[in-house]
Amino acid sequence: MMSLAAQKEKKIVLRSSDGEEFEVEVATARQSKMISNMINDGCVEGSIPLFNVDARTLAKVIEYCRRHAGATRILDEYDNPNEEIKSWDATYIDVHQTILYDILQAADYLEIKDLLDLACEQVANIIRGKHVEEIRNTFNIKNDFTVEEEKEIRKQHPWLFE
Amino acid sequence: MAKPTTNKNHGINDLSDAALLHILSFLPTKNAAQTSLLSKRWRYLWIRVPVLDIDCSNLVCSSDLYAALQHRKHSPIRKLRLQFHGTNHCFRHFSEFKDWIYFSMRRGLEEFYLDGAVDHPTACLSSDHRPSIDKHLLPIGLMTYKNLRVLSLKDCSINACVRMDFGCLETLRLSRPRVKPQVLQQLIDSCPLLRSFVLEFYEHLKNLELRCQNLKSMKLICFHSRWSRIEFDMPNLQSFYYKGYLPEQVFSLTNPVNLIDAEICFCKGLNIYTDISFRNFISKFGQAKFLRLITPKIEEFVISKNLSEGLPPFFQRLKQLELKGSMTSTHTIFAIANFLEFSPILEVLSMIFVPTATKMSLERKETEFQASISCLRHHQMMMDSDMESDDAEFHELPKVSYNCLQHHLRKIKLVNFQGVADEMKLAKFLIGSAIALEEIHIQAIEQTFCHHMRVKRKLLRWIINPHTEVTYV
Repeated sequence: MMSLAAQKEKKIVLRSSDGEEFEVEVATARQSKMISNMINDGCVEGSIPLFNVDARTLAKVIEYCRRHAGATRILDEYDNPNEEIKSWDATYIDVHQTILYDILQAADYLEIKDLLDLACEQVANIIRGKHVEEIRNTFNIKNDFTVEEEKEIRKQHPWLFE
Repeated sequence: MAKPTTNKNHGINDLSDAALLHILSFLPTKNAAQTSLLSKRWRYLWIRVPVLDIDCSNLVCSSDLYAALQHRKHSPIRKLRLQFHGTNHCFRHFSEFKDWIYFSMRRGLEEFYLDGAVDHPTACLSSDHRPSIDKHLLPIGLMTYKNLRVLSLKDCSINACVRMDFGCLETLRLSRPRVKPQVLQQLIDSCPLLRSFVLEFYEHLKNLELRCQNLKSMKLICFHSRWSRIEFDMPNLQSFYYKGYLPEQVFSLTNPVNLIDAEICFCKGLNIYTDISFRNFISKFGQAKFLRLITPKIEEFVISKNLSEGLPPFFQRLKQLELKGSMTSTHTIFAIANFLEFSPILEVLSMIFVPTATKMSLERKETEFQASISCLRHHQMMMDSDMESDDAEFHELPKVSYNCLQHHLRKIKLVNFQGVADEMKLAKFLIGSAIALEEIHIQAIEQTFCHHMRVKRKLLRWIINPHTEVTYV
């Protein structure tokens, strides 16, 4: 038999693009603006299919939402940084690049603003302070400029590439 | 289950332009501009970033950037951040500084951050030795710019203005402002929608009086002046943060009936002469549901009996209390008892102990190691001796039965618990009298395994409510 507390807490089922189902608490699901809107509109019967998010990414995203749903306190509303959460976030987002992009895109798709910011800032931190060549190597970006074109850009903005 | 092979995102180039712009918006504009050389796709991307973050101390860079950005005819600028780090030579080009502001205002600026900081230590107490710099005067046009939602000024002068109008401003942050209190009030009056206000290092004053009807969150940081009088009229406050010294004479806060959260951090220890001031100060937060107090020594929070006698409990609505500081004597227990007495419906009590003597020499560790080995050998023996010593040792603990202990206090959290005598007494006092306790969570500080075993065993023996769950990590 279900306990009283469990009955009270309604769950929502999210289905990843590769068919795996995740049961999450409403408060957790509501971290996503997209899902929150669906809940408000009453279209969450059965499971919610998320075509753009695979199981690995969804598990990771749910981990974030669960932590942040549990930590909601009024103080945070007025952007007073909560040290505990901040250090948790830093550890959470310290992942391999490919997972980072997956999280970033999932956060964008599911409209989880804080997670999107967190992921984007993490990518920005990787770019910060690196030379162009280093950035290309780090992100595996192919230089498609001709030698002349590259020269031209450097000449246009000499102050940028000392 | 299918493997996550459906996902093809393996590089940064698979992200949409919108995502890349969002990433670039976290970088200083110079860094963002450097990405134009990465590849054709990145060539003009940075020009569309809706954020400008410019270090004005590098003049060549700043004016060239300005020239480059003149091309962006219609793309909006949401956020402008200007920094003047290290030097003040940039004032020769003061007009350029204004250009940036007007340039952004024409493109719908919503958030403006000005950091006029000359290098100074950020340490809390060393504020007297800052080099004096010229004024960063804000352009008059900004003072009546109604689109702004966030304004943050660091090391900046704000002069009296005939007209100020920040019709949409929600967040205001002033750090080391050079502004007279009357002008500050004028500024606040010009922000009808202001919700959040941070005031940092506002110094060399004795009295401060501010009113703000709609303010929800107020943060006062590094209030180290010898304040004699602070009076706030902010009836809709929900969140209050204070870091500094205890105001010496008057602190008044017009009955904030909606107060939810308060955090008070005293940088300097209190002393017995401030007892009345402390009581007056703390009683202003009687409506809070969450209260966090930070001080060098927790025991200083004792409110003497003759002052509190006959008073109704201060914290009528307090549900969560967190105390952080060092514990140097058993007086701490009386301080805690004080709080419990004044908080009839307290549910969660957290204590974070700040270790006093942080020097733990290798020598001592060595001794402890030896001790723990011998302790393991005589495990049984020690256990017996524990039993006997306990109660004789702790006979002076106060016997209390406050309302919150009887009915409400369900969770106790002790962080950095070393298990030294004073802490053990406190723990015994708490778990021995908290009848409604459901959960006690102890985060122990590095100690020998054997020591932890003993501590845990003792705790389990003292618990008055047999259903209490104990977690000890």
